[in-house]
Amino acid sequence: MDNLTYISFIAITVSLALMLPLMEKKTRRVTIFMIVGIFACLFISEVNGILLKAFDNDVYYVTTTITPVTEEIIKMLPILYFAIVITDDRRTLIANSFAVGVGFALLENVVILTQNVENVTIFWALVRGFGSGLVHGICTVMVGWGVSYVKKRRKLFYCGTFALLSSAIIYHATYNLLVQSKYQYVGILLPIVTYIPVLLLTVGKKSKSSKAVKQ
Amino acid sequence: MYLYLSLALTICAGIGFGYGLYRFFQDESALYVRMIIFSVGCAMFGRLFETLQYLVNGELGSGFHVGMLGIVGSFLFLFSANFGQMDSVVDDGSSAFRKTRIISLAAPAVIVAIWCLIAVAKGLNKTTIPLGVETLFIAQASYFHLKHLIIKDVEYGLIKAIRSYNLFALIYALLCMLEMLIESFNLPEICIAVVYVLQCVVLLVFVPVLERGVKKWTT
Repeated sequence: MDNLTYISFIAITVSLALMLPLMEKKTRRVTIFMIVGIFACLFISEVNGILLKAFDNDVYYVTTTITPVTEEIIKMLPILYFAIVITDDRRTLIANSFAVGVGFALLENVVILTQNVENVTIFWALVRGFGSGLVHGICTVMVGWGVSYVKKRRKLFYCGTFALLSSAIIYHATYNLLVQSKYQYVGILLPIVTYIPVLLLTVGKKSKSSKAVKQ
Repeated sequence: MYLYLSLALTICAGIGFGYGLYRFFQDESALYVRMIIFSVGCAMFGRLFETLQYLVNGELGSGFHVGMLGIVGSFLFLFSANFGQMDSVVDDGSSAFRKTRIISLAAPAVIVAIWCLIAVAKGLNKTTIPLGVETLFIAQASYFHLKHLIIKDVEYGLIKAIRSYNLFALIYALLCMLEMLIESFNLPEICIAVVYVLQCVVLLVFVPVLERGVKKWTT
């Protein structure tokens, strides 16, 4: 049997790519970034494989210390490229960042599913859906927010983005640590607890700005 | 003991971060202030990771761990706020401030000297090298904290208002280095407890002190 990671990658991205010409500009951009996120996951799966070997197949150490660093850096690169070359508009970057994160989580979930197909349950699906999907999305959004300063304030961009990247890495590592421990329920709650206030804040801001436009 | 001390630090940083979010994120507030609050938040995340490591594994382990990035990120936010936002306002780069700039180098010199002490005693290994990286970030932030503590004030008392905040930030930098020193030399547990308690106090009062200073900007 061929490598299941590549099979999943092709199956998902081809269908998404074929839909691109039919989409409107905004939706197309977000979908492209989702595909980029899926590709980032494919790329990092190879890198992580090499790292795992380098650390004597110590899965626990690698997933709580090394992969959060590599994954967050790889997810940041397309956002950084987009901000430098195309636009550093914060709203656009945040939407794209979330798409990269979700795309990444999508392939990651599929890969883990194919590796543990006999053990997965509906509960597992809920954990992965609410947990890893949100974690990857939130972490990439954190970095994307910092990247939005790339052209406006260089001094802030260099230090601020690295600081936000550090925060995203810790957040990601904390989630990985919790879900592999006996406190995995707390691990699942962590991204949800973070997501709700961000969601409320965003919805509140949107309704405020739409009210201001109406007036 | 480390678990409880680390937990106490997480809670104190969490309270400071929560208070900062409540006070400054409802309306549009200065990016400078927001970055300092993010700094406390980053410290909280780092300590949370360390606490969970103690809880799950019983130890942090030697060498690099992700919790270190909490300190790195925290001081990067502080550095970014000062270097990217405040410094260009208070220092126009003229020779009038040369003396202040030179004196301010004392803070990073002390910070780096503490790490050198560890490196000389323990040698360069997988524990001291990550600590050295951490030290670099603490040192660069401490330069601006000392500078903004001693620099001649610009108009409207902009820097004078936040001098106590800069003093606390400088103390925090020193406490982080002391923590490193005590852990490296396996000094008595009471020493580490004192440093942790002092860090708790600093993280708790950080945002209220900043708030008091920032209020003076508008009054």
